[in-house]
Amino acid sequence: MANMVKNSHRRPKHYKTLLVNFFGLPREVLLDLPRLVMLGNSRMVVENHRGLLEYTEETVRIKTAHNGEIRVTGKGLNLLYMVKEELGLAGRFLRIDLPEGEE
Amino acid sequence: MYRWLLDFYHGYLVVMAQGKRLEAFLNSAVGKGIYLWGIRRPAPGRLLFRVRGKDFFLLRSAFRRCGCRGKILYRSGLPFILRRLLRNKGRWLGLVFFITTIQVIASFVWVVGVAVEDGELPGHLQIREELREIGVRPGVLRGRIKKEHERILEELTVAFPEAAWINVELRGVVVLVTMVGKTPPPAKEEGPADIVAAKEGLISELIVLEGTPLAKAGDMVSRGDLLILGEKVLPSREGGFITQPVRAEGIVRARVWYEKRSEEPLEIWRPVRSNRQAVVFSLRCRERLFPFFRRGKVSGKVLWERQTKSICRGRNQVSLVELVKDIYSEVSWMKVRISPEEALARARREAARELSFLLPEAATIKSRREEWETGGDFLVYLLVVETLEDIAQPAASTREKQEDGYDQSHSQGQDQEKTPEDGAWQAVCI
Repeated sequence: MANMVKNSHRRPKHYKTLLVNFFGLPREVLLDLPRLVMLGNSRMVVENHRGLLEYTEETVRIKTAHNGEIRVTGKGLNLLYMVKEELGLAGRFLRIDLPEGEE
Repeated sequence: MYRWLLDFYHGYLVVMAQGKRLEAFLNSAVGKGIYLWGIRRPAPGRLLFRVRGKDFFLLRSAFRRCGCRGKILYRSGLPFILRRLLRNKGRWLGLVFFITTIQVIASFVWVVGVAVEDGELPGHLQIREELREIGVRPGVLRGRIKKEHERILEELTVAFPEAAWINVELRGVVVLVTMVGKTPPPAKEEGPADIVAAKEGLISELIVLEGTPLAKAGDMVSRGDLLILGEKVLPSREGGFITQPVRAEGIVRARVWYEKRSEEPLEIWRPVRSNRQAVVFSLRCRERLFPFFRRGKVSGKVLWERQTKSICRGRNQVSLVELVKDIYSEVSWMKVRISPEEALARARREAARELSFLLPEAATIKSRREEWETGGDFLVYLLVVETLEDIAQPAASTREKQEDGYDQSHSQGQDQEKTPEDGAWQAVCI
């Protein structure tokens, strides 16, 4: 029974991946993946985020779907704007850690 | 740019949030669909951000939930500026009063200017008196001048028949009346006359319109030499010839040489400015000067320079008001030795200045030659300019001078027997 529950939990994601691969649909929409757009090492736009975990001038941690986290380390970081689906980040980026295990 | 304009149009607030869970506050605010921008962390536990004016009240619950406090630091944008302006009634009243005053002042004529050009016209005072009678005077509405422009022009034309052209122009609050007088053509002189040489020169062309030529191209003539005799030889009824006195007319083009020799000193006295100077700023209103600022003090010999700047040139074309800057620099005279090049430049300048007075307007410069040499404390400069010009000059008839009862029945043969003492013949005896 426990095995069945586990399978039923996995199945939709599996089907979504198949669907995305088969029809060539945008992955970030169907799979809830964050989308990052970077301009050099000074501007970044993060779409499909789930909020902020930490915000200082040196570190910004952004929550993503499936309990993931994007960690941006740098100098003089500040948020240019923030709305429900998107946020803009500026500063001098030194390191970006991306969430593990996403397809 | 577009975003900035939109934010300015809607109005925005710069808010400072204080608390421990500021990230949670941001998530909560964004979750409500509020747009935040310019988010900065100036210090730990503090957050600065911008938010639209109308969204600020929606943040209250987010502040409460996260245990943060919010404080508006600054209000910006059009709605707030308008609110600030509307609140101050005195300022609005002042603005309305100012605009009304300007409008009222600008609707009157304040200055009547008269400009008279050429011709024999009555004086400014008489013209102003006439203008006053017509109704053009300071204090009259500008609209009236515009409306009665034609009538004013007609009345001025009647009052001043000696004017060839009259114009009444309204420039802001200034009425400028311009009059140009009739210039009668030069009266034609009558009576017999000869043509003599006005200058010494070599005749290159001689065109006789009236009279008898006594010189020809290639002749060298001196000043006062007779060129065209004021006589005409006509056949008489009895046979033979008679001479009739006429007014000689003609064009005598000749090559004329001008020579200018000067000695330019190489040691000259020159004013040397010291560091001490006084500056006086004044405001000139018409003929009166009102000094309003003075800086520095000078004594002894001073050099005075004046710089002017017209204020509001667009509406102030007759320059009624002017800013005047007088600079008085203390100077001491020192004997300095100048270079030969500088002395030459000075000599050239002086020669050119003197030549400009001597040369007639119609003269054509054919060649110029200059020589110079330095000797001792002087530079000797020589300038020779060759021109081509008309040297014909009317002069009273020599016959009339000598004989009061001039006999008109001289034959041609008798004319040729004149003695050299007769001034008319001396011209050709070069």
